[in-house]
Amino acid sequence: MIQNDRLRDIFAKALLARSFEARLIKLTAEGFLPPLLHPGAGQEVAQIAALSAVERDDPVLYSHRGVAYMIARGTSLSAMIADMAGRAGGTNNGKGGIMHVVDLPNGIYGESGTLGGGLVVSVGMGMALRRRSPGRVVVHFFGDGASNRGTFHEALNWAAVQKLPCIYICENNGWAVSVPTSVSTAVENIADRAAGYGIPGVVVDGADPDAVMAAVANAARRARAGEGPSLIEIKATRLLGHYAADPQDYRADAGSVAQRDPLAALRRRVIELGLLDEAEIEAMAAAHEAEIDHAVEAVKAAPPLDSDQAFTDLYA
Amino acid sequence: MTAADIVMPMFGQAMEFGVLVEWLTADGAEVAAGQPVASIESDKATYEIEAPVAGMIRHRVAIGAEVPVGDLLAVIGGAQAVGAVETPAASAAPALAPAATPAPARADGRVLASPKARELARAIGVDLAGVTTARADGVIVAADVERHGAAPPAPSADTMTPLSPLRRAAARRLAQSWTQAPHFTQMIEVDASALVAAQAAIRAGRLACSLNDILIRAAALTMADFPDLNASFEGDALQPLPDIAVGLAVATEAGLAVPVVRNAARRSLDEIAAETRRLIDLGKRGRIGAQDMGRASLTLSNLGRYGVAFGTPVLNLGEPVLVFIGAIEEKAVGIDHEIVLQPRTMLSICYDHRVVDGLRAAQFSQRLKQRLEALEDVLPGETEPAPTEPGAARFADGRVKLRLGEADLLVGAKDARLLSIATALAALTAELPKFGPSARKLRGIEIRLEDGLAGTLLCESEAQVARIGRAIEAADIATYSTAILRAQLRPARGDGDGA
Amino acid sequence: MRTISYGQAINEALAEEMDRDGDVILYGLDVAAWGGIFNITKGLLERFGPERVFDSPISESVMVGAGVGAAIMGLRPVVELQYADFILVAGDEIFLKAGMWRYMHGGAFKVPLVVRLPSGATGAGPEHSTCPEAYVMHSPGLLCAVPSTAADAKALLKQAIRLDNPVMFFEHRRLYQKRDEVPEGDVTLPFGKGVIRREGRHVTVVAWQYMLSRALKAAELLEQEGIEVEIFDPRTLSPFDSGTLIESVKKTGACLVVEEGYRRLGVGAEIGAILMEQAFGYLDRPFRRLAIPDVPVASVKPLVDRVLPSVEAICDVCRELAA
Repeated sequence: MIQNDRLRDIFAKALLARSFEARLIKLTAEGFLPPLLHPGAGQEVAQIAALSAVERDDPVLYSHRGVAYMIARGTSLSAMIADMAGRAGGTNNGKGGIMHVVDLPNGIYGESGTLGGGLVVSVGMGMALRRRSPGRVVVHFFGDGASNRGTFHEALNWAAVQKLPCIYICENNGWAVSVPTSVSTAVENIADRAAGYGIPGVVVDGADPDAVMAAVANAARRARAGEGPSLIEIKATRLLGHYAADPQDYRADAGSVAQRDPLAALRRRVIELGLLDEAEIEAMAAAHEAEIDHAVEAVKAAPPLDSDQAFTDLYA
Repeated sequence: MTAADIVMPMFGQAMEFGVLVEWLTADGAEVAAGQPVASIESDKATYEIEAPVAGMIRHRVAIGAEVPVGDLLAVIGGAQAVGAVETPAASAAPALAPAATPAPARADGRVLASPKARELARAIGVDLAGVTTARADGVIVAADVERHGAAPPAPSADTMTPLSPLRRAAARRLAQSWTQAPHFTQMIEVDASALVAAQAAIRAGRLACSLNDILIRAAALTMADFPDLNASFEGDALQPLPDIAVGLAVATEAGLAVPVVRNAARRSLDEIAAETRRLIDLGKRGRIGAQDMGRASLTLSNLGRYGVAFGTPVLNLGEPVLVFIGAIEEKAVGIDHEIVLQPRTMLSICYDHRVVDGLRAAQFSQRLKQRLEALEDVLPGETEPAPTEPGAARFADGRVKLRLGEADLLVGAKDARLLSIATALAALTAELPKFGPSARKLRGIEIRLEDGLAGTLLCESEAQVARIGRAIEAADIATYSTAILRAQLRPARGDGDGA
Repeated sequence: MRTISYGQAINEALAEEMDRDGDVILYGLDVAAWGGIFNITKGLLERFGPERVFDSPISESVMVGAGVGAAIMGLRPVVELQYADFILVAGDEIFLKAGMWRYMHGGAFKVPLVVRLPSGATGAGPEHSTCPEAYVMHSPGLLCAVPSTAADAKALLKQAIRLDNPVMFFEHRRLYQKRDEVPEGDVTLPFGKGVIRREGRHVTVVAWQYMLSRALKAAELLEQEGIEVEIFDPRTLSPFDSGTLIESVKKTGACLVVEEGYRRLGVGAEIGAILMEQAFGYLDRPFRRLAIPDVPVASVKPLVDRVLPSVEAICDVCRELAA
């Protein structure tokens, strides 16, 4: 069982992530941001719970599915908005948008634009950690779609051979853009593939933060002890489309999926456990909105990026 | 081998000197009889001179020299002729290729030179036009410029531009003509419908000639009707000209040239077309020969594409008539108390008053006008150029009403090609049911051509539209010179569009 | 000065740099126990141990991708791909990950990765014979070295390992056995500085690695005909030393590029464009290039010989240019 503090913290962060993303979507609809967000609504609880099981200095390679990873680690909201809006004060000088947010002090190490491209990079990160910072682990989030890349095979195989400190977290929300896993993936559970590499593979319910945390904690223990990588498959719920304005014509449950929202379930649970009441939650939400407002104002007041930035940061 | 002198020939009766522009064979080369050996510029154009006999040619003048008519240019054969000498004495490093003819590119006035050669020539003040190269690709390189040596002193910094020999001579002759011949010009406006229809027929491929060829033939036939005009004023008397020759002003890279179609009145339209093609091609390459130059009976100047309506031409020296044809434009004219749009053009006919008086000239002008309006003895008989009937009514937006049997077809087309296509379509649907003229709502078939041109075929009824639509689908598109990209039925444009 | 082979020089460079900096690691196929199928990494496992010198699976994507990951975390990996052709197998990892990880993340990372790439047509078939440096020269974020001599190979590899940017290091297999004078000591060469291998007044020939040896041979033959060929070896293609090349072309006015890559959009095409843009006024002859005529390099010797630029072809073009 997760301790109450931890649970409340996960809920608060997931709530903030949900509100922040909703704001990003709103700002996109208003034209202030380009339509580049892949909303992670529905998957925040699992993502934040997973990261709650590791330390801040465990480097994270994240997926494109939302911004909860960064919320979990405390990356500046205004910096992320600035990255999307092309204003000064972002994390990547306008080079990568929301897809390549980087926040090294908080262990956010970026993302590969090509899906599955980061799987092989995380192997090298694990190699470096083992040599220079034993005891730290790499956490790599990726989706069901990316698990069908050849890089998945090459990365897990070599990480397993070398017993690298890597935790591979596959968020299986059942969809790769519009393609359901039933069409793309030969196995029901991606975690079953772990057996092919001789490493542990577990399936956890993305609406169950306890299970997620436990699985990641296990994997981290194994990795820190030098026993090698693990594969964790989170059965996740993608509430919205692949991108914010995706009409999801291909999806039969688009209308009903909200009923299975892990955040709603967690909200009910924290109330039931007496950790927070409705009024406190409302106050928390309002505080989040104010925090977000503040971040948006800061970005709107910031100057646009100088186009000379197109020519910087190429060579060290 | 017989020896022979090559002297500056007289191209044209008033020529006094010519300029040697280019040697077409190297000094000391073996030439065959009839082989072109030199390029000469006169006041009218650039000509080629051929070797009269075979043998080794020795140049006697330098490039750029002004040589009076009759003076020596080169000799062939003679005491110095030995064996074939393909290469002149080589002067450069052994890696040099053997000498070849100078760069062919020079004939069209362009000089090919490497960037370095250009910089060097500019730096030391050498005119690249005067530099030769032995390179097979004809590109002048720096070494060629160096070999050419230092330039004559740079031209003075004042603003006078020296003229080329051709332009100097032309200026002289124009001044002579202007001051000696009393000029008068008659302007007469012509209904250009037949000419426009002829243009359409040309574009549709039904006439294999150019508009200029039609004008040449019309002018020649008219001159044949007025033999007294076919004369030149020489000394104190009228000298009849030997035949009816029509000159055609042609633009070349070196300026205006005027090749002449001889015996134009006796040539068919096809023959004239072939002849002008030949002359224009030669003119572009600067290779018009002496036999194609000379005095014309009448010169045509068709600069209508520049939009000029009428002008006051200057006669070519010794010629009695010059016809300037202005732009063809659609104008509003009164016909039978109705304002009608009609393509019109102005002829500005300039006459030498010593040869012809105003009344006789007016008769010539009128006859030429009639001939251009009817074209009946100009065009070959079997070609039907006009898709419109004479006097077809035209409407403000360029539509034409066609009567087909008892049905009226309104054809809207801003382009003669569409018109001809519409006519062909209408012919396809010749068996139209009868419809009275009372139908007011018009339906249209839009026709689009590959190059974006579009027009509307307006029909008086749905049934007509359907009929023509089917005919379009069944039609063999290949018979049209441009393809119909899409024909689609369009609802009515509304009342008030009708006749 | 002592004489060692190109392969030995590379081995020395690796050993010296691994000695100098404990963050340098080396891996690839067969590089550890075997010492490399071309024997280049012989002895390094024994000297530096299996944590720094190790074999990888046949997995070019993770070999290079892990190189990027290790590099961004502070190691200085040297990854050997067994054949240069395999830069296309690991295309995402080289051109997008290595080339762009720093840029995409706003300069937060450096990628001090070296990928060693044995190249050249040696009759191993179309997919094991290319010199694909043009792809690298074309792509932003990547450096590219093409050393032609043992001394240059050693000095440039040492420099490459010390640079904080990803380097594609092409080693020509036909040169591995070639022996040259190689200075002792810690000698490096900067990237972006080529060298005039031979001076001459009439034609500038740009050539590197195996083609350089053919160009040198051609130059000797042409000297007897009074044609002086100046030969420029760029050493690196990215960055490319256009300054030295242009100085040479100012003198000769004529330039021929001889490359072992495909002709279309090859290195020669880029050099021609550079000359047009930056040395137009000095050109006195048409720019020329000799390259593989846009066919794959076959397996059998007569076909290989047919498509590689020959000494004779180099001579012919130089004679035309000197005329």
